[in-house]
Amino acid sequence: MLAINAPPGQDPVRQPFVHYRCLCSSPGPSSTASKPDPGTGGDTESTEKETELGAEDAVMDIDEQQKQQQEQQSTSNAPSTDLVLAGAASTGAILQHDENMLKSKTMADIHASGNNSDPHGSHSLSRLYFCDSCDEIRCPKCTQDEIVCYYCPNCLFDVPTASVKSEKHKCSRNCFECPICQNTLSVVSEDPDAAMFTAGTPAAGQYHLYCNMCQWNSHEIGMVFEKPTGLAVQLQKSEDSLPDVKEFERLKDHLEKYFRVHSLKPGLPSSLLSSIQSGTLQSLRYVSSSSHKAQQNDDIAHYTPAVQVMEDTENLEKLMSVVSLNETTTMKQRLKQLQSQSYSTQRLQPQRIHLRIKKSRRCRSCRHIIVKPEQKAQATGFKINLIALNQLPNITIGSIQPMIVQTMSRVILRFTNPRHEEAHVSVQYGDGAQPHHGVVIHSPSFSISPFNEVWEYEVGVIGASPGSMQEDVYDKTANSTSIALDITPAAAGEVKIPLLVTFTYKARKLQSEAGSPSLPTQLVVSGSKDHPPPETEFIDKTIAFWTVIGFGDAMSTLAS
Amino acid sequence: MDLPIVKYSKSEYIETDTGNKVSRKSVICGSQNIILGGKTILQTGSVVRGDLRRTGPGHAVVVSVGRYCLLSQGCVIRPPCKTYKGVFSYYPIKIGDHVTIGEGSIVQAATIGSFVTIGKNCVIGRFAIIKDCCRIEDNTVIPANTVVPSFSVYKGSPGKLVDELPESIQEICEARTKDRYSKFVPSTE
Repeated sequence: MLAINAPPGQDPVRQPFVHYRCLCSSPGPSSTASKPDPGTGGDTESTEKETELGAEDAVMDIDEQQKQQQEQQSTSNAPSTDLVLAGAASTGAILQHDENMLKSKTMADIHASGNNSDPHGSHSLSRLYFCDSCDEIRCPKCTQDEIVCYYCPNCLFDVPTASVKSEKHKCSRNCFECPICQNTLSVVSEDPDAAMFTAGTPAAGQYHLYCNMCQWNSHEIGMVFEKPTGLAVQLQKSEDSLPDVKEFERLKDHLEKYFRVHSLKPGLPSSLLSSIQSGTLQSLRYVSSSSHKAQQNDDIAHYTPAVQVMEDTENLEKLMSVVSLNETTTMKQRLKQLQSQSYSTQRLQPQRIHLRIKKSRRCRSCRHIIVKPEQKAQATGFKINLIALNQLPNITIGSIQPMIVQTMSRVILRFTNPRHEEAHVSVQYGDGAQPHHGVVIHSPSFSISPFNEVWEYEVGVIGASPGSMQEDVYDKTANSTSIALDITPAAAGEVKIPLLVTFTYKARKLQSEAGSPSLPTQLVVSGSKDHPPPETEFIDKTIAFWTVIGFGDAMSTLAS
Repeated sequence: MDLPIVKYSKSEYIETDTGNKVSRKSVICGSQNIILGGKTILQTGSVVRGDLRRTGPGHAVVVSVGRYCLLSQGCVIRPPCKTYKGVFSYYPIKIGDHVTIGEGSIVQAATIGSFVTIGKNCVIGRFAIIKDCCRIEDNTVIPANTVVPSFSVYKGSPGKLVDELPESIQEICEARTKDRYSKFVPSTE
């Protein structure tokens, strides 16, 4: 067998993992009194409760931030993909996280904050960021997304922000998705072979849309094009003449004058309306609540729709006469065409493809940019990318023995140093977890050699860096050190342990950082004799963070 | 979890000057039209069709694979084909660096970018374009002519966007493919 990716042995029910805890989601120092129960729902509940309590102190701040954020969201107009939509819905949760995070943290707080084995709110290192001005781990929830550019995921063209709204967040070139299977359609010319069989030249159109997945063809609905470019423009006329689009325009005109007269907030109405266009139910709710508030001052004149909606009974009769279910649309197909929601597949139209966005990220507490991608849609590079992977030791599980209750099993943890400076790590087992597994850490304090690109080109990567003193560790290779842990599971079920990792490295001293009072971690001016600093001054920086490490399920007895 | 060390029998694999490890049990057609970037592993039973090329004299690069790639057991790489103006022809396929192609997947894409992971039993249709930093989950079908933009995770049949990859994916992917190559070693027997 040469299966490289296959895990050794049988697939366990729960995979081992190493998660890092971001302080924004930790319940805070007071929660250590209530011992959480891992693996049950009660534990997440208590965490949430704690977060709520923390948030109550500064309700005013939250309100302000919420307003700001709403403004930001409405001006930038996020929902271009379903993914973004989901992100916008959890705004409330994000704010709560934000609030907790803003509290200044001391080492004692850090120590008390994550001392449990609850993986809730912890992430794998790949999903985390590291703000270098706060010196703290940041997770996706405590960073703020900002839109860098809009682009079409099919033709990968940038769409200028100014025209995004008028184009309804959809590609205005040649990109359409299949009304049946939602795959992208391709433009094909009339098949010359087919023309030979069907006598005479093809009709007015020379081109049509074709789905490579389900072989849907726009001929089926009588849609043909004269030229293969600018299809969206060619379709614009028929799209604008649809009754529901007309009705929406009428409603918009009707409401917009009220918005203009009693402007709730400058800039709000148009953005609100465009979010309705994108079909989000939430924004509709928002409109109703805000107009309800506005009613105190004045009433909006009654609106009479120009188009009458077909009665449900008629629809029902139509559906009753359907013989084959293939002629009716599925729920998914109807929801993709919110404005018509037709039951007949003949009336489904190809939809223009929704735009996607590129995002940059900002730290919520210091407002520094953490991730900034390059402006162009096609570029994958980053101007700024402060991912935690490049700054914190990467912990991986080197080897693992099957966990058996009340039996000691050995686990090797490998710490890899991504930094160009030598680092010192100390590991401490958190006793706040339930059940309390027996954990013995061999050599809880050790050093890791710096990362050096030269090693990458050597054939054999094994061998400690020259000059480093020998330590009592399990293994020491290029820029990683392995330590051994003996774990005695106390009970059956998943074995998860919290570990407090303290990471000290030498960093170049920056003038701006020297006097900054907001730094939560200790800054000790280096006075070490064994490493005389060269010309630049070095300081010891210490970062402490909690990790949750899972070792899979513990069996109650040794399975033969 | 760290990747396990994978041992192979020295007689099965050929190692080239640039560090490519090619199984003798793989099917390689038209090897003069195939470029492997270096440190790429072609496992048992993988098929690379370099013989399917545009008609005409001379050499032409048909399949180009970057560095630190893995073509797993039983995967098939064949150049895409179409009939254009009445002429049937094959077109070249380009695969970037640090690309993993899972077991039993069939790839007929036009371009696969760097840092791409394709799962097991996938079908990548003709002239599909997979940009850099993507993941295609197991058993996914990417239909012909589909474009998969960067940092996306596609899944299902037809493949749909289900998730986005984090910004650190390049580093993770690079570390993993390098680690995998260094742990793919001949058995000492």
